[in-house]
Amino acid sequence: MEYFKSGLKTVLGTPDVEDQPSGADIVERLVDRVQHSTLLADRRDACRALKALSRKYRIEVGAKGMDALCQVLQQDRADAEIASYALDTLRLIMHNEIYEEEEIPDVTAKDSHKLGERFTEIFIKKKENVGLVLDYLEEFDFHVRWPALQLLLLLLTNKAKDVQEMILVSPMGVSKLIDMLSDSREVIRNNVNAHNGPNVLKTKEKQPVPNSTCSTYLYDLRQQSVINYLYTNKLSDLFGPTASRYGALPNPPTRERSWFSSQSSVLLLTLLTKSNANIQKILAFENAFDRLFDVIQEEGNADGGIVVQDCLNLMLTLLRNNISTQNFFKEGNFISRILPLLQLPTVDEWPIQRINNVHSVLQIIRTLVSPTNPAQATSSCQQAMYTSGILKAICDLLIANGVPRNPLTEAIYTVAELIRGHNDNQLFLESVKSFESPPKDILLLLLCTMLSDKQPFDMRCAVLYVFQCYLYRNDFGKMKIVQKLLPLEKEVTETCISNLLCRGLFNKEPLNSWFSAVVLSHALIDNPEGKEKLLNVKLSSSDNNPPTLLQQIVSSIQTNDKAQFKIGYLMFLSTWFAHCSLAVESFLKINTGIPYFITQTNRLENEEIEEIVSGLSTFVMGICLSFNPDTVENFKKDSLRHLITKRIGVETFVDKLNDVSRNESYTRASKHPQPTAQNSNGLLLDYEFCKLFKMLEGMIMRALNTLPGQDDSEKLVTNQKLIEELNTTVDSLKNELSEKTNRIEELCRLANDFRDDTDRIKTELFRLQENHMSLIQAYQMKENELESYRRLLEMHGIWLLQKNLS
Amino acid sequence: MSYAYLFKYIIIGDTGVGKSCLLLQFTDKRFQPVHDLTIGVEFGARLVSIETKPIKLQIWDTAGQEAFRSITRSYYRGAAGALLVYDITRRDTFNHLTTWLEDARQHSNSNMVIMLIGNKSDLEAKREVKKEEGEAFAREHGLVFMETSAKTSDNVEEAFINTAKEIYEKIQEGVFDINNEANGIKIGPQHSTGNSSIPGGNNRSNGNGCC
Repeated sequence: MEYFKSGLKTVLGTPDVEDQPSGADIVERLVDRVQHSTLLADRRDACRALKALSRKYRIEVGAKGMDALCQVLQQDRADAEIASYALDTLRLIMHNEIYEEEEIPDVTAKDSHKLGERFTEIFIKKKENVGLVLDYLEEFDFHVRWPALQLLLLLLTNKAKDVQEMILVSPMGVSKLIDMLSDSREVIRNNVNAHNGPNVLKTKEKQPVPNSTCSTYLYDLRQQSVINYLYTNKLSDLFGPTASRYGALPNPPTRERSWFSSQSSVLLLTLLTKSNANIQKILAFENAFDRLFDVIQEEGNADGGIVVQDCLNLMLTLLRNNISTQNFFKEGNFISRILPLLQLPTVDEWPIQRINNVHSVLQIIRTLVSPTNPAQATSSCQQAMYTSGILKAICDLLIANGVPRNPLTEAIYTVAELIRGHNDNQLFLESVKSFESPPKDILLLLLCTMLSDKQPFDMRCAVLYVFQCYLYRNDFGKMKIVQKLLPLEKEVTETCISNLLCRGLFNKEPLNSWFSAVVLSHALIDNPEGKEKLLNVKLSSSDNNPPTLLQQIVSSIQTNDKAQFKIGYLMFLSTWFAHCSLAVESFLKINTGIPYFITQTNRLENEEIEEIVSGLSTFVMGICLSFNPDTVENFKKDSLRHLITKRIGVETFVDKLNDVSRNESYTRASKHPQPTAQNSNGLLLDYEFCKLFKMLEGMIMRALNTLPGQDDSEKLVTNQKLIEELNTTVDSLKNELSEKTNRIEELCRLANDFRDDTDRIKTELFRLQENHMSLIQAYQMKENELESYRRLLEMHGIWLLQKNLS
Repeated sequence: MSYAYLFKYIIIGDTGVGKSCLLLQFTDKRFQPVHDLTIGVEFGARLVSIETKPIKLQIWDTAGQEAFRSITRSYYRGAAGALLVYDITRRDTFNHLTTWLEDARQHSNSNMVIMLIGNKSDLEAKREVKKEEGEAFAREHGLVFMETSAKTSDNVEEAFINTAKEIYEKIQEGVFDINNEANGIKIGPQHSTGNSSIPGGNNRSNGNGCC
């Protein structure tokens, strides 16, 4: 070796002692040797040296050596050692952290932390490189497969999306990964029996990375866990079936699953599948859900450790935003396998891990029934959740004692999405009662939570969401709430939902009032009958002349200063008045109404929240204009339009409306049906209201911009009248027609009768005629007979006569 | 909802030959005249019965376009049956069968049942590939052959069910290792306990309320 080295020295020249070569020079020389040495041993040594330098002179090694290293991967596959050096070196230069000993040139100092990513980018620019690494996964030798796997994990961490795509398009890429994991059984058997596998490896690895920072820790963990993985056979559990193609073991090795092992499987697979629908589908095809549920079950369902949570999170990754895998999940009856995870604990204890597990389960359920999924998919999943008993299990969770706040809030959200727009599930929720005696309706209990300012804000929001979802497309439920408020009902002493809501509407706490207003307005959406009936609601019966609900709201809105109050009321009024002229009429009859709204609109406000108030006031006035019944003196359509133009001005009016749709809370609210806000003050607009606003905005503009006489809606009214008149004419004609038809029918019947009679008579006649004929014939015959007799007689008689004569 | 066996199928063949339409006709009993390009892979399922046994067919409908070929290949090896489809009105789709077959044989397990299907049999006037040619190709490569029409639903049921019958027979003959899910066959939940005596019983769904 010494001889060899001296030989090298003569070739390369002895380094000058005074003139120490720079790092760059050394690297350059080494790279040159890797590329051009003919002897494998030389190339191998150079590679080893490069690996040693790759921390300190990362830039140099990366910039100059990348191609050479890839070349090694391509050409020196046969030699495990050099391949492992090359793979390791590549991993080291693409590592994300800055090394302690790393020499960073000043020029690149500021984004040196991105170096790893940069080099990854360069590396994957050549698509065949990723394929090369994948090929090395097929190498049986552990010292090659292991660094290859590590490198792949790093590539996935740095450039998830691109690398995913490349794995996907490289022939059998994903399958190779899955095979690799199953194949590891043999590695396991060989090394677990030796009882030194992991240790040997760890000492070999000599990871200098400190465990202090979180990400390095995670990376470390990943490495650790993958080691464990390969040695304890757990991921192959996850993809068991493929294993037997490689001459599977008669008995699987030890069944215990270490904390790390499953952690790693999930990390690897999560990295691999994250937001890549195609890989997600392949995993579903490879029975991933089955395996994951098996692991979860073995680990003790919700009581299991972090393994369970990781499995659930991977499941969530596979399902999120992927209608195909969701459909597969439903078709494969996996929904019913969720049920055991929702069982209440036997001992009333909720350790943190259990909370996390249940939280993840609820996330999975919500993904399947999300309002943003296609309606058909959501409703069939809702149905499946009902039949498999999951809805019931979650309801049980809601009424159980001692469920901590976190899973409880999430469970409330989940119930909401499970019943949204699904009548059977809505009815089921209605029927759920608490365990206490006497049992109370769950809806009532939830409402009390929503209307109590002692409860946490997010939980109250969740309950609001339940009510919104309960009333969504639930005509029966909507009417029930309105009906209970009507004075016709007997004096009810028991508290019911409607009463609580009505009381909440005028509660001092703004949030209470806002919540109640939103729930009540949801009861009025697409409910014309309810809107009219609600006009008859009077507040307290003790007063001789109790105010109606509408009057009370209009007076409350004028006395309350808090914007949240006003916004709640205004949303409620808008929903109430829209498409309901009768309600508009009642409102216009309240003297203080319109003048107050005009002053609200004219207030010059700088604050955003006040902008919404004046914008909504404008909106309500616009609705009064659009749905004006033209029956209230002073506030007929034309006069109202005149009033608006004169007092507010068309420009300002439109601006005020635009202020609302431009507001941030409007954009936030219209995104998703679920109410979202950081705190109680942020809750201003409601999803359904935003939908209404969007719908009516244009209509209001049109109503405002048409000149009197040209009014579309006026024409509409006259047309409608005309149509009504015509309708009455048509109706009377119809009546006449039906009378006539009846008469004709009767006559027809009579005629038929007659015809029948005639027919009968005819046949009778025919019969009689025939009879008659036959009688005549008989008579004729007899006559003839008689005649013959007579002749005979005559002959005799004549003969006798002649005899007598003679 | 419970089943005795679950079979995994794939549908392969050139783009536009009617793979997705066959699946739609089989699962939903309807026909969609507009060609809606499949992206990657789509999924469908239906319960059928073979010799009175309920069998669930889990069908993976692949994209025919070349661009998706590497993705769709990942599905070959886990399937118990494949429907290889060509269009009787387009000769080139018939000519490509050899490539498809090679690809399938290379990446799938050797026992996979392959059914050759000449689709669009309703378009007799535009026919470019004779029925005899399809039969000959099938005979030569040991496939089962059928002409179908996803539009009129002619032979569609039969194509899927006959494939299932073939797989079922292979199971009865013991060709398939039913406990190895890599073959694309899964034992139904209620049947697994009955079969637990089978050696190598790496039996996962041990009757645990999957249905």
